[in-house]
Amino acid sequence: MTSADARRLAPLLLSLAACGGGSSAPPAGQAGPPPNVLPVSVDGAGCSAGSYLNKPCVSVTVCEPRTSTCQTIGDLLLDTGSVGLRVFSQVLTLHLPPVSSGGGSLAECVGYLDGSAHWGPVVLASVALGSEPAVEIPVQVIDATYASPPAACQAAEASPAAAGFNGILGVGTFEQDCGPGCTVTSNGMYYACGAASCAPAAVALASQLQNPVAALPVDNNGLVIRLPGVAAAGASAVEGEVLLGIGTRSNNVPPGSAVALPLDASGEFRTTLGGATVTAFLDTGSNGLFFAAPPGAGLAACAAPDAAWYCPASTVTVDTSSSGATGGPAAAVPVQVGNFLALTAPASVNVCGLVAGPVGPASSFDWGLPFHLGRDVYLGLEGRRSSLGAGPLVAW
Amino acid sequence: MDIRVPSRFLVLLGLLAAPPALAALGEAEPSVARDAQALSMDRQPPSVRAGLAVHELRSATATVREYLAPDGTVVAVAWSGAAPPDLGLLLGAYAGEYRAAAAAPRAGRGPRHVETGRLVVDTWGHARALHGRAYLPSRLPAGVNLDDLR
Repeated sequence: MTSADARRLAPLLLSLAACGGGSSAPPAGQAGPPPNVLPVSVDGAGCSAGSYLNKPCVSVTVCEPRTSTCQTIGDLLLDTGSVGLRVFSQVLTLHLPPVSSGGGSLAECVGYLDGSAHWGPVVLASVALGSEPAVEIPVQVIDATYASPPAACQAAEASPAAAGFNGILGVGTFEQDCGPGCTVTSNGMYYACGAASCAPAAVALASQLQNPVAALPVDNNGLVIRLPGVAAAGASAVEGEVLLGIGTRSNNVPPGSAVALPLDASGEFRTTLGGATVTAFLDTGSNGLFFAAPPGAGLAACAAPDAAWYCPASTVTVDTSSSGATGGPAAAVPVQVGNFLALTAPASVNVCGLVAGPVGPASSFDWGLPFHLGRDVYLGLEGRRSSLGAGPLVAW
Repeated sequence: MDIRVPSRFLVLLGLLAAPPALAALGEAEPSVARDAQALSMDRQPPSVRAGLAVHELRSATATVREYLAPDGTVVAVAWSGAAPPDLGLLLGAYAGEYRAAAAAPRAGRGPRHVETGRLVVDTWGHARALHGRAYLPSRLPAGVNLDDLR
């Protein structure tokens, strides 16, 4: 290791230690939490020190397939806006076998809503969520230096420090990260890398990054995000949990009052605000609510460099109504938006439910982490059924 | 990635076959067919949207729209799909300043709005439905509704 490498790794090792690396699940049969519980920490002990506002962190145990060589990785972003487990190479100590494609190895360039991207090889890993049995699935090692990245990944994030986390646990409503669109070549995501270069590759569904929840032997029809509410003034941290499965155990049964919203092929429902209806999605990986302010709502963006957030003079309530992609029952949600700068001024505030910001055109509503505070949110996976109906769906 | 180097070559090609320019932001007389080939996308018949001529490219997983002002200049591009397209190609001469501005540190994750003084880039969405758009505010004809640029 060069001294430059050592400097690069030092903060990572610290963050791993801070995130409870090395802990293990209680042995089977021992009294403990039910096996379908995955603790979630929003800016608490499960996150690295200095984590950004409203960042939900989880920890998973990853093993080399069919061995007892394992590693518990913390400070993973819990992300219902993507699918699949992705871990930065700097954090991994395991040797995970590559997934082959044609004569080479499979690699992926995945983009995100903020214009960032991750690049790196697809490998096979044994992944354990909570105390559930481990599942063997393709995952991504995030490595900006791997082989020769395509144009869209030339500026891919290079380190946990740059990203703000050790990796991403994507548990959205899809079974794979890309799906049928990537079973043809030139899909913009998957590449086969040989000794010299990488070329666009068609990838069978089974070789794509898999939703770890869908791969479980039981509790595999969906999940519940359960985070406590916080006061209007915010909190320094909150601890909650993901419950795997919907209606599969006594701890994940939806109440009769839950309204289920079926999703379209893009995983979206509809939200109406200010008389306009836009496409909408749930995303714990977005650290605010993001929507175009209805005319006359009194929501102006903060001054630069915080123009990604709203700074109303006083807290504003925006009435919204959400329904499934093809209509059906509607769920009303009054959205409260406070002044971002005032709310986040105290250094002790890392979790806040009243932060929101604008989005490019008035065409979408990103229900980010604040929406999930103080409410059980159900995600029914595509192709799976529960008492809430046939997935993909969301409910609360 | 560098589209200035091959431009001389493309001019030569253009003299033989097609209009001699790049379908990139700020460029005149776009060769949309060339873009379609570079992005492995199918070209759709031109239409009108937001009061601008729009040339649409499609693949199994993505859509790209290039908006042309009446003088034939590409003044906006928009994209959506499972993966972001090669913005080096679509943003042309503006790609470098976008990359520089987007590299500024930010805290948190969400949709992004990047301004460089002559370029605006917005990105938003989620997995399998990533969206973005880039436009040149000073070169948009009067009356264009920005909400239509997507």
